[in-house]
Amino acid sequence: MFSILIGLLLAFFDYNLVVFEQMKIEDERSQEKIVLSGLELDNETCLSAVSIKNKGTIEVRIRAIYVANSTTTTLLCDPSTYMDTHIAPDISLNMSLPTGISFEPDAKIIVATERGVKTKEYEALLVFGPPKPEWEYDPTKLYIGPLMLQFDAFWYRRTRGDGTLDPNDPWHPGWSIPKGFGYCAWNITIMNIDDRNITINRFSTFNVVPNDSPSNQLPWYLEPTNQTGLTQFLPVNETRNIIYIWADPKEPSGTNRPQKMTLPECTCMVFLTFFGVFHEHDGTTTTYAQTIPFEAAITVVG
Amino acid sequence: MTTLKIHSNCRALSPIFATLIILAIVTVLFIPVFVWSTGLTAETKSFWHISGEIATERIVIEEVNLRGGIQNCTIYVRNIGKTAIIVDDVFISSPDGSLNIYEKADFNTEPDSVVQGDLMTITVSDLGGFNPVGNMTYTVKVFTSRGVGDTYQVVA
Repeated sequence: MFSILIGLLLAFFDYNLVVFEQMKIEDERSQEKIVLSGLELDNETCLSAVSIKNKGTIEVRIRAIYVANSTTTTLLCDPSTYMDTHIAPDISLNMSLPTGISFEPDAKIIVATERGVKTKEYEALLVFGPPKPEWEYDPTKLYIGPLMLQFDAFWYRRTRGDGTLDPNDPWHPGWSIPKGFGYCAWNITIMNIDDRNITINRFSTFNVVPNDSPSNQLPWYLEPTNQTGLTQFLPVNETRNIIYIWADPKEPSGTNRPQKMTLPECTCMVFLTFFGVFHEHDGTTTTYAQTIPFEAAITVVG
Repeated sequence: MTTLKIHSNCRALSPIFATLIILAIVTVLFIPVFVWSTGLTAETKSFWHISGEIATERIVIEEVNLRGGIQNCTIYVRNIGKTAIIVDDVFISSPDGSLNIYEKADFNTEPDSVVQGDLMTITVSDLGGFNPVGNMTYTVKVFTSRGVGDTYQVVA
């Protein structure tokens, strides 16, 4: 009777032991996480190696690599048969692949561990990276059109009554200007990002519009770099400074007066308006116009 | 008149024989109890053993190659439990609810049995009357000889 009881107890404890072992396996499995981090090509047509990173908290062993395309899912290999595929946590491993496996951008690479945890990714994403968004927001480069404004390169400076720049006053950052500053010029930095050269004319303006009283807006007209044609040439892919000085479009006679900052303490929006022509590749010109709103306002301070 | 006289110093059986007879009776009576109890023990031990094997039998379907218009199917099954496995049944259910059952004779397994960590390739070379349709989702189930299974959904 005693031996029978012993046998029963042993069987029961043996059962408990195996259940505990299985729970341990499940626990280890839940700690596994792998990601595909790269795919190498040998001559842009065949796969040569795959990189796998262990993102889990336990060591893994890679046991299978598959390729799935639109027509079939194939077991490529068990890399553990020709190399050590144990990967410690937070470590990457580069595993060579059998030769002759064609690169198919739309196919998926699937990697599985010994505990049956998988990861999969498209081959194209691993080789070329994720697609970049078509437009990345950059508040320093806000533009809709061929001229791109650099918002961090924006200044003002005192002018004399005849419109010439005051040599005793340097350029100040343009985001705030003292109230009653008087005659001043604005200097902005733009880049022609079109594939055609542009010539802007004397009607291009720098408009300051008070938020509280938009009708009191003040325009500053272009100071042309070409004093003969009263224009400014903006070549492709080059950065240029544009200076605005005048209260009216620059006249050939040079009788203009400069614009004066007369606004009270306020916050203002700024709009840049450009008029001119595109120089087409065939030598002709076409009309060009563009408005650039500033991302932030300038402030007239006391 | 006859008088019955009992002789107090005369015994029918000796103490030795009496003890032997008692032992024999007890032994004979204990035989069925012994047989019953040992059988019960063996059954209990067997129950715990099988329960342990089932508890530690665990498979994972890693990948399934099932494509529309193709009359065969390959299933990759990994044993992640302590117990060696033998696959007995494969079920493929269609989106419309129809179930296709493939028994041991209908497919090949390579190898026949796998231990922990190893991969088994199940090849159903002929799906019979079942014709998978492209871009439809099918559910594949694989069961071992002890009834342990796993499920995988695949887009044909």
